[in-house]
Amino acid sequence: MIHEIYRAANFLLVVLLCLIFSALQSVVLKLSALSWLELDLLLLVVVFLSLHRGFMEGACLILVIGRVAEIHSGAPTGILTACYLSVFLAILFTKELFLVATTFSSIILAVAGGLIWKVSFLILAQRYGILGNTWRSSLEYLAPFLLSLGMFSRPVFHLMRSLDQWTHVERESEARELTGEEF
Amino acid sequence: MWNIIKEYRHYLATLVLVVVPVIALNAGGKSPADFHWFDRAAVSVSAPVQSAIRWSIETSWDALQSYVMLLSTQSNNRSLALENRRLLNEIAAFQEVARENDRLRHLVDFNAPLEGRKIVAQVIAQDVNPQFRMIRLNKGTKQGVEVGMAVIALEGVVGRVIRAGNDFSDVLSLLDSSSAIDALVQRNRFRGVVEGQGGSTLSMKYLRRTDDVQEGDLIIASGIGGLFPKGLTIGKVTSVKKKNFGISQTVEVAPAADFNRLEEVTVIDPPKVPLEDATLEDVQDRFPGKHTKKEERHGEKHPAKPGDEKAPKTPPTPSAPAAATPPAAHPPGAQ
Repeated sequence: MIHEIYRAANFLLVVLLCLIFSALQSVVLKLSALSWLELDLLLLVVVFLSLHRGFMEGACLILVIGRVAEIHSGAPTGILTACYLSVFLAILFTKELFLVATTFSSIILAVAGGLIWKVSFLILAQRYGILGNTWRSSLEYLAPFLLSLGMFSRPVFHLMRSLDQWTHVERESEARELTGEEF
Repeated sequence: MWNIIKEYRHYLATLVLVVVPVIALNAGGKSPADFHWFDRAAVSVSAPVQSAIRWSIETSWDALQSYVMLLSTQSNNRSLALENRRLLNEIAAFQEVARENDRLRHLVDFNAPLEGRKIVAQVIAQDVNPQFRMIRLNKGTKQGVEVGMAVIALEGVVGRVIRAGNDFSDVLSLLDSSSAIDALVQRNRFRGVVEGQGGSTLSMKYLRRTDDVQEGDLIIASGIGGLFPKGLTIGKVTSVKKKNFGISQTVEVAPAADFNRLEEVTVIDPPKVPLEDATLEDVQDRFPGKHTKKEERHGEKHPAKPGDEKAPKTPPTPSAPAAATPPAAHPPGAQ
């Protein structure tokens, strides 16, 4: 019983953290001095969840995170969720093929996740006719975007891991990784 | 059956994950959806955090600025006194121009700008995603902000309200790629549609190739649709591109409002009755006295023929050339 309560608390805390990240992203990271970074903190959370959660729990969390991003954005409904889910699925697939054991490999995955996010966004934006000149700014700021993801991935992952340890989810995900259990 | 589902659960779950957002995208179209209970709960958590962060940044910045300002107060005072004297002279000149403008407006029976309730709001946050251009205001339905209201700044048009919560509202800015507004070139009244590009500039479309548009031309709202008052500044033409073929030209417009430095904006209540559905009584209520004047003018002066020497020589109204221009085609998203 206590395990389920911790699990639910972890779910809620992750959503709450994402709300705070959205607030930070929409105010602090929009200041002229930082706006060129185009840092997406929610994307880093998605990468972390793809690495440390099972399929169903991760998918549910990412659906909620996608919605959180959309209510803080003028984006059409579904587009950001679809992009985050594509990153989630791609990292799950990568996890099946490669061993992601070190911090460096997690950082590389975060950067790759950023690239996947951009590509899936451009494809969907083109498909739904909202691309405009967005592709230009997306390509112009691609390097700082990926660099900022790489730079900030370590502190964000550390924060998320602390949250997991605090709610005793960390040990469970380690066990799942060892046994290979997914659901 | 259960065994089959269990065997293929990974594939089924992946399919559901892909299908859910695609259905949402197809169902929702290009516009962002309105707030549901989850959205309201989530934003009621994040909006105060946004306000608090914004407040702390502004307070710290102001404190720093005040300290820096103290260092150069004397020289600033001297230059401000000089500027004050120059501005007083300019005000006197402008008062004369304003009086002259009033007389001319009265003479040509110029349309009064749309009046309505105005709500001053503060920008507390911007879009979480750099590819979209939404801004969040600190006023919502409690203060009278409703979905569809126009938002303007001192410099010109900002956008329109797309979602409204109790104490906050979201505005789709002109820069967003799903934003469009009917516009006029101020100099010669050619009509087009100004669309956001997702970047820092706008694009004016549906202008004919032969339409005379030059760099530096001012682009204003046409007032069609009744959302934005006619004459509000949208921006200035920065480049005109004509291809070797085709019937239209592409005009790039720099927005008048500085979207990176927006702090305070005004939300305007649009007319309650859409202009296309308005009855004569609605129009007379909105512009009292104007139609009675027009009727009188028609009644008294209409019989006079253009060739008649007694016919009054009224100066052309600014909207006259616009009426002569054939209306351009508009996409369904145009406001």
